[in-house]
Amino acid sequence: MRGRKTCGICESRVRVIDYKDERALSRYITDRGKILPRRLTGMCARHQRQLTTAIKRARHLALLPFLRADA
Amino acid sequence: MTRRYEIVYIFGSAAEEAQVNEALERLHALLKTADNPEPIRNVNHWGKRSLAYPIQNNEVGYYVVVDMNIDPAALPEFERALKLDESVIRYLLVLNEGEMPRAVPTAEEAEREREAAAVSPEGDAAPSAPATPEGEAA
Repeated sequence: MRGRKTCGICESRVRVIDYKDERALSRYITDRGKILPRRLTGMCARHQRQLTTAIKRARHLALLPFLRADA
Repeated sequence: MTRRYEIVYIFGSAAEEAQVNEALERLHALLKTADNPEPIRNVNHWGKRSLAYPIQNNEVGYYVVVDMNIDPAALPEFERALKLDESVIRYLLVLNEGEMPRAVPTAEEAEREREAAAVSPEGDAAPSAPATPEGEAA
């Protein structure tokens, strides 16, 4: 992902990041459940904002963990 | 005036489909008004799935996703009923963003726009600055 100029979400032409798709979202969280920063996701500002909202909604619905304990 | 909402309900693990349907019917009755007789567009039962963390000691929840048109004036009463309903352990009510007014232009589209600007006659027609010095010269 490093060094890439364009945002992967823009490229895939996804209009809205779906908070219900926890498998897609799980790519953008760490093992412990933290949201990955933009420098690692390579997303544009707009999509990173959407991603953050989507992950927070998914957490509220127990689709994603707030925190995953040590494995 | 109605707006399009999406709501996700999570029912406790004790809930069976019949009870869930009954609860949904009861809740959705609150949303019907004279000028909005059919608020529900689509009901999607995900069924039981395991929760990422326990909610009120439930490890499993019964998920239902509903797409609907509601008059926002009906919402306070509806949400009050939802919070009082003990079979619903969690819910999320959001505006449905399925249709955005405008998509983010992709790299390809931006490229086409730039080309269109470059083709248009004599510099003054191009609204945005071309990316390259050659473009400016052309």
